[in-house]
Amino acid sequence: MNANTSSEWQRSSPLSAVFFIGRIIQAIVKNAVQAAAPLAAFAFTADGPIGGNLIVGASLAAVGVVVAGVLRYLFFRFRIDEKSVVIRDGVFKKTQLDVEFDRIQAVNTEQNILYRPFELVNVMLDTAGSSGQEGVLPGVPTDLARDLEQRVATRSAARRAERSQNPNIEDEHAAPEERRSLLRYEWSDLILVGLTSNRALVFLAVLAPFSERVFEALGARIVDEAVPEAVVETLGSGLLLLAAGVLLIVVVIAGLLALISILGAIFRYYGYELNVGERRLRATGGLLTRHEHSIRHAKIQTLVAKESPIQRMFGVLQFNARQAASGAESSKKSFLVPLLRSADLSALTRESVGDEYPDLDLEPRSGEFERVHPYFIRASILRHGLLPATVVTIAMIILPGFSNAALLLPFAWLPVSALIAWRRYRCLGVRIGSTGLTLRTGLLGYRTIAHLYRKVQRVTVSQSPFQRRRGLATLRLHLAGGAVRIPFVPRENAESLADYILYCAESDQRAWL
Amino acid sequence: MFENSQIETDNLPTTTDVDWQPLDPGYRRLRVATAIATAIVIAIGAAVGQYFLRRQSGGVVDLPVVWLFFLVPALGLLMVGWVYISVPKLGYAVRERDVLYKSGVWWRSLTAIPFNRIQHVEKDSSPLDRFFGVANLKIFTAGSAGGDLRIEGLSDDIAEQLRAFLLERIGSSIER
Repeated sequence: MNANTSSEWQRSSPLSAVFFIGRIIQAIVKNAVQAAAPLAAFAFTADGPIGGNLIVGASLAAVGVVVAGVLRYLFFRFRIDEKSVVIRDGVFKKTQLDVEFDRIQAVNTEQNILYRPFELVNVMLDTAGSSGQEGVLPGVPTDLARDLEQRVATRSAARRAERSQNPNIEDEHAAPEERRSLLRYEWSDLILVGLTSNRALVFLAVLAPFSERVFEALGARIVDEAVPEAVVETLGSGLLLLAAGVLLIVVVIAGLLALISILGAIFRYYGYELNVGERRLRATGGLLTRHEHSIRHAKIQTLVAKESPIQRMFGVLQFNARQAASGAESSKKSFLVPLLRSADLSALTRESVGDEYPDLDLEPRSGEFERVHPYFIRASILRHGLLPATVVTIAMIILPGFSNAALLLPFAWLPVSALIAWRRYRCLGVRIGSTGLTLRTGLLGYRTIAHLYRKVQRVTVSQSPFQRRRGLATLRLHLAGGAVRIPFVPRENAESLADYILYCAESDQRAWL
Repeated sequence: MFENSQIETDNLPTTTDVDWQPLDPGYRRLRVATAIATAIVIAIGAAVGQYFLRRQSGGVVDLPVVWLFFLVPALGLLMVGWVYISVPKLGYAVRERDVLYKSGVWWRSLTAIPFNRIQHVEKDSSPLDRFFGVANLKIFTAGSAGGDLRIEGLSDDIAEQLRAFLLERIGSSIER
């Protein structure tokens, strides 16, 4: 056995002080964003000795942060036992964290540029739930991380075997297969990741409130300074020029956002490689900091594929394998493949749940999806169209100052909501298999989610008064990694499927987590 | 090897014909008491509101106080009536491998949680609950974003028994 994993207290590499310093700065930034704004304003407005004092104060604070980081490194100890990782941390307030192997879902690593020559990594122990209690081993040798991962897997398989003598239970390590590469990103893929990410849209949404003033100011300046008099005369209209200027700015900003997004994608996914084998998915990638992320097949709760209109334009999809996590944590704990083609998607799903759900196809536009009852459209218009329109109109009647014609305005929303309802109905579809189901939803794009019946946590069949009259019902399935809602299906079908899913979950002896 | 024999889907146990257990009678008393208290609070609020409205408007708005005598009983009656309609629709059932809960007069729902998926169970009771001799049971499953199942208005004994029973079943059925 490797000397690194003997059950003695160990220290991390001195370089891990950098990690601690980073963490401290993160914490300060997180807590002091509100305090920072007035402080900065004070610093800018104050001149003379106060400004100088501030610089002295800032340098002192920086020294303090570095000292604190080094101290935390000096006091940090960890130990790897037979069954758990024990972490001792803290200078004044000491904490001891005991992470049992059984609770560890995945051993993820990241390697920043400083660690690379020394073969060091930060190890993140991914446990189900409890965000504050994550175990991190900063700056430990790569070999130790590998060894730890192996021990966690072996331990979990052994425990599974000892827990049940049932021969039906599959052994995760019965056949140690070769690891092989499924997917590798080229430069063009990285650019696509940037272009199709939602981050660009988020930036736009954030900028929207400021945009008017920015456009005003910038537009005026461009017209004033950048355009020669002759051009103005030729075009003849200042208004036209202003419009052109605004358009130019919009294009430039959009281009900048795309560029930022692409740069982000390059930093995060440079050299991205997706491996399968050893009953797990594993992804590595990153330009400066290399991330290694893995998920064991047995831990996957739901599989999700997304296709936005932009992604569809480029013929790509996004894939997500979700583990057990509480709501706020779910995005952090999921295994995201930001870009892949249809063929890769089917290979990936075959690899992860193929033995249990062989006919799974997450591709949203292939094969037949069973539609729900068309009554879905009417109910959707009632709830999302007529109800809000009526409420707004009543409010307008009560509040003074609206003409009678204006009272009809909210009902203009009705055709829009009808269109949305129709589109959602067309996208909504379900494929019910013998071991799991696939649900497709969407409006502009598509989202498909699939899961195994045996991993379902909770089943609810509900009926609204309207549904009851039509003999319809809504089936809700809660999983540890997300929920699935199938509305407007015949009541008998919903009930028998619920019964069958309960049977699958209750009769299954295998581990679901 | 892993086997996957076909099962008779027609013979599966169904959630539709279940012997539902009603909640404790104390729970209905509790709900009636809360309904009456709410009606009184609303009536007092309305009376205070009317008083200030009359003062603000200089006596222009002056509704007769008599309407309060109608409002309170009418509101109270509606709310108490609702308790009598809705509470009998609540029910739970414990089967060999799962716990079921149903609710709803107009919007009806039935929820089932297999024992081998329960993470933990919590019993709670407010002072008011204890006065009426009832307790509530909260059943947690993993990673549930949509809230966990809460069974309100069990008698204190049954809630305790159920809690102990469920905890025991979790222990025996959990597989990791």
